[in-house]
Amino acid sequence: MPALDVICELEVTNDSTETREFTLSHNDYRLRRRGKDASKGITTEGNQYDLSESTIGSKNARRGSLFNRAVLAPNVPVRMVLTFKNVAESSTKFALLRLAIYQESSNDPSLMQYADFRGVQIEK
Amino acid sequence: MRMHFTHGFARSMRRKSSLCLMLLGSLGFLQVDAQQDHRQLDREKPGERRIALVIGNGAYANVPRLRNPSSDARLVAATLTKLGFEVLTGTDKSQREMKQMIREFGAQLRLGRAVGVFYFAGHGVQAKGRNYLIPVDADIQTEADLEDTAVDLNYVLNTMDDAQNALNIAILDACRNNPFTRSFRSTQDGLAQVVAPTGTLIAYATAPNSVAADGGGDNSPYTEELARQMEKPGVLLETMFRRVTEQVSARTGGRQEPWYAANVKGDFYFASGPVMSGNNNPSSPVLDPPEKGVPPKGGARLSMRPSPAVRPYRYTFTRAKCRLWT
Repeated sequence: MPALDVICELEVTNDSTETREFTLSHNDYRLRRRGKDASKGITTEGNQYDLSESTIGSKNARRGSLFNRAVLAPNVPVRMVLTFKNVAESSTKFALLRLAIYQESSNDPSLMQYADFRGVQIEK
Repeated sequence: MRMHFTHGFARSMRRKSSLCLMLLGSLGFLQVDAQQDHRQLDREKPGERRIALVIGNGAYANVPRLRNPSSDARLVAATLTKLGFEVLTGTDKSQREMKQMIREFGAQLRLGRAVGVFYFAGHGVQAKGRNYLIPVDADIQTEADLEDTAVDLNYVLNTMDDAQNALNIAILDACRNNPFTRSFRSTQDGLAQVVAPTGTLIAYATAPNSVAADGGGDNSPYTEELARQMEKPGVLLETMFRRVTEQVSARTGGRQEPWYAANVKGDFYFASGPVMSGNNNPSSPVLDPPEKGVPPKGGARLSMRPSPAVRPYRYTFTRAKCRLWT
């Protein structure tokens, strides 16, 4: 089955009054070990894809990285680009696009927050 | 050497590479007796397996050769075999062969509650905070080539961690000088410090960002001392590595200071001592099963820090727009 990369773009804003570190998980074995979700996308066909690469502002995390961390100034939208590799070309929608975010500077997997997007179209 | 592991590997390798068979056959300590090995395995209780992957790369094609990694690997393999490990050994391996061995190692770890040991001797480099083990066929012109031609240490750690076994130990005698410094933008020697996953101990032949000696004899100072200390009975895992550090530092006049990072709970002994009395298998570890809601009894297992009362931070996200990239 042909497979391609899916690129997702969005913006994140730190809503607090202080500068904070924003840490987005990739395929982090520490999360898997604890039965917790890392960032992922699940298509309407039920196929699940790990987040392969990401960019947060100017910070890049390549394939194999555990996470991507960027410092976010308060109330400044920052562009994020997420790459899911080898997604079936027939995929039309993410039933769930889940971003797993660590608490500030902590990498402790027990302190996770999730941002869920549902029904995200995959444009051709 | 336990037969069911080695032969399984050899079978898979036979189909793909006669060269690998020649290498395996050339190692004296790989002489095995299948029946004897199976009898010994039958006596072992489930969950008491010890499995090791030992790789020594010295015959590099495109960077300076190292004299000792092959003999280092043989020494460590022989020592671990004596200590009850089923040892998969390889010398002078290409990237494809290394990854194949690592996958086989991971598969074996997953089969039971094994204690896993990964040992690598050879060139190891860091780039942008990540560590890479260099196969003998690596042709690396720039840092960017590392990802395609070397073996990322994270790949090894991920494979071991995926097995969900009780304890993993990664030993890297790979901090010998970075042979690519002229072509790298960042010219840091040695290996970068990495965080040990839960249930894992990572040991380095020298401190982060420092260079280890290849050694003037048949073995590197680190591996020689490691093999010696592993065989001492009744020495706790962390104590054993601390002693290696002390001895190597003393022998090298402080020029080389081995280092380790441990994220392990419970006690493990390479060689049993008085604390192991009552255990029928003198070389088996005392370990609890991997965390599955089972309370610890002093064994190696996952630990989770109690979650403090955390007030979630607030972020706002715009709607994600996704597209297939052609």
